[in-house]
Amino acid sequence: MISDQPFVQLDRASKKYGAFRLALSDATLTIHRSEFLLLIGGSGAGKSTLLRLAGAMEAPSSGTVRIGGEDPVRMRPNALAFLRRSIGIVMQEPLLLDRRSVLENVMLPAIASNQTREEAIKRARAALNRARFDEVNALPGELSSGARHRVALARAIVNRPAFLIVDDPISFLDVEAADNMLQLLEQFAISGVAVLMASQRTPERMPVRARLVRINNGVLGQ
Amino acid sequence: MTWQAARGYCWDRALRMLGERSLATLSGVVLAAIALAVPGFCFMLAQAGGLGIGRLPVAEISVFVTSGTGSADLKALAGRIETLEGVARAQLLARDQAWADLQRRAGQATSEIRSNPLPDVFAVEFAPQATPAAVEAAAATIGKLPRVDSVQTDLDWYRRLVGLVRATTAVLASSGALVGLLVLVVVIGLVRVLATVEPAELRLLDQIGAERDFMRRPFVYAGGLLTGLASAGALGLLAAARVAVNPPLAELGKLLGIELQLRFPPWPLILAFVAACLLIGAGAGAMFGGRQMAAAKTQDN
Repeated sequence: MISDQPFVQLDRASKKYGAFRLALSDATLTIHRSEFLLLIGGSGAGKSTLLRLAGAMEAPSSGTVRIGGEDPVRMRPNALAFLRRSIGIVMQEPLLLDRRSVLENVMLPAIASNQTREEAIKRARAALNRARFDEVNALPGELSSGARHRVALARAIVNRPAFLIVDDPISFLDVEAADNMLQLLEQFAISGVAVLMASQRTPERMPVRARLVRINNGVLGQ
Repeated sequence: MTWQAARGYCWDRALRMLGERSLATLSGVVLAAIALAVPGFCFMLAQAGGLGIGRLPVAEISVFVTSGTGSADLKALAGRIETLEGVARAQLLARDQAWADLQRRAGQATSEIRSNPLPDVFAVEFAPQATPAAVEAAAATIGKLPRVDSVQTDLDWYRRLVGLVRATTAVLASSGALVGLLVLVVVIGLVRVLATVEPAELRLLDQIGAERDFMRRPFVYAGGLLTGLASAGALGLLAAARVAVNPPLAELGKLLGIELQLRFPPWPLILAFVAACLLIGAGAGAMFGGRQMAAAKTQDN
């Protein structure tokens, strides 16, 4: 069941890089808890920009973005850090610390949010289990692209986020692996997490709960 | 305790930061240790010189009194001399006593001299802090006093010795300050070069909601570690320098008639030195960490 209050709300949000490059134009969008929003657009369409605004990683050039009822631009650094702990992010190129094991990578957000080591390990193992990945002692450099995405996903959910952002996790996966990933994300939505996923292509098998939004040249369209 | 895991991560990150470029870290620490040891060595030398000055043999002049001066006048003269600036005491070497001593030592050689030819003499000792100029001024004043026949000064050796020790001490102190500034630059530069993290990692920490202190702490620890190790190395070098330099320095001291020896600074000073090094390193780490965090954020936007 989707809640009435939107968790993320973009109101005429635009993002301009430099003087001329308008990456996102007047985007208005809401994402509720338990909702799975699928953002489809080609390369350079503005998907990643929208994801970054929705994830409080960037401020809009104009318009507003509210996350959990808060405007990240007006928040103090520590409050913003606290808000970010409620957002799990998996970017297109998942950044993993190559000299640390998978388990240590996944534990990091829990450690950074002042959990005990034991609790961080417990949460990391549970998150890896949920992301269906069990090579906890492997180093990220030894993993395939799909496996790296799964580890990054586990890291994104280790702090039990209310909002999950995933940037193009299926482009480099075969149909079955992509389907598995979508099922997994849908399960998060079912468990009450707001999920925003960007993709360059429409999935072969569309998740049942997914709401599809297209984006082209920085402009949102249904 | 929840903070332990976070602190543990920060220490681990700091150690990895330095360990990832272990050779550069090692050579950097050695370089910083040498740089830190130089002003320390200057300080120890200046301290040895300063102690040497404090223990210099005091300047002394001889005041020959005109013959026939009575004991009351001698007493008055001694009183006048002792009031002069820089004079510590005036000791009378009575002519009768001096003659008796001479006869005892010379034996037959003095048997043909019928009357005592020696004058009464005051041995005037000056205070240890008295400058050669003050001693000369006092000698000139004494020479003009009634009942004074002549004043014998032999101050050239004293002037040269004081000049040498003072000049060395001043040069060491001023070059030590200059070297100290250079050392600060070296140490801060070392922290800047070695306490670094990839911008992507900082962006990741920012993204996962790590607080600024959590992100900055590894830089602070790495900076403190670097300068802490360098300060320990510097103290080791100073201890080695003491062993190597003290024997020839003691020989030189013997030649100059003063005690010259490198002494380790007192413990409170050593602790203050190590604490200052730790603070400088940690401060530099915090500063450069903050800059890297800001740069990572700028790249992000």
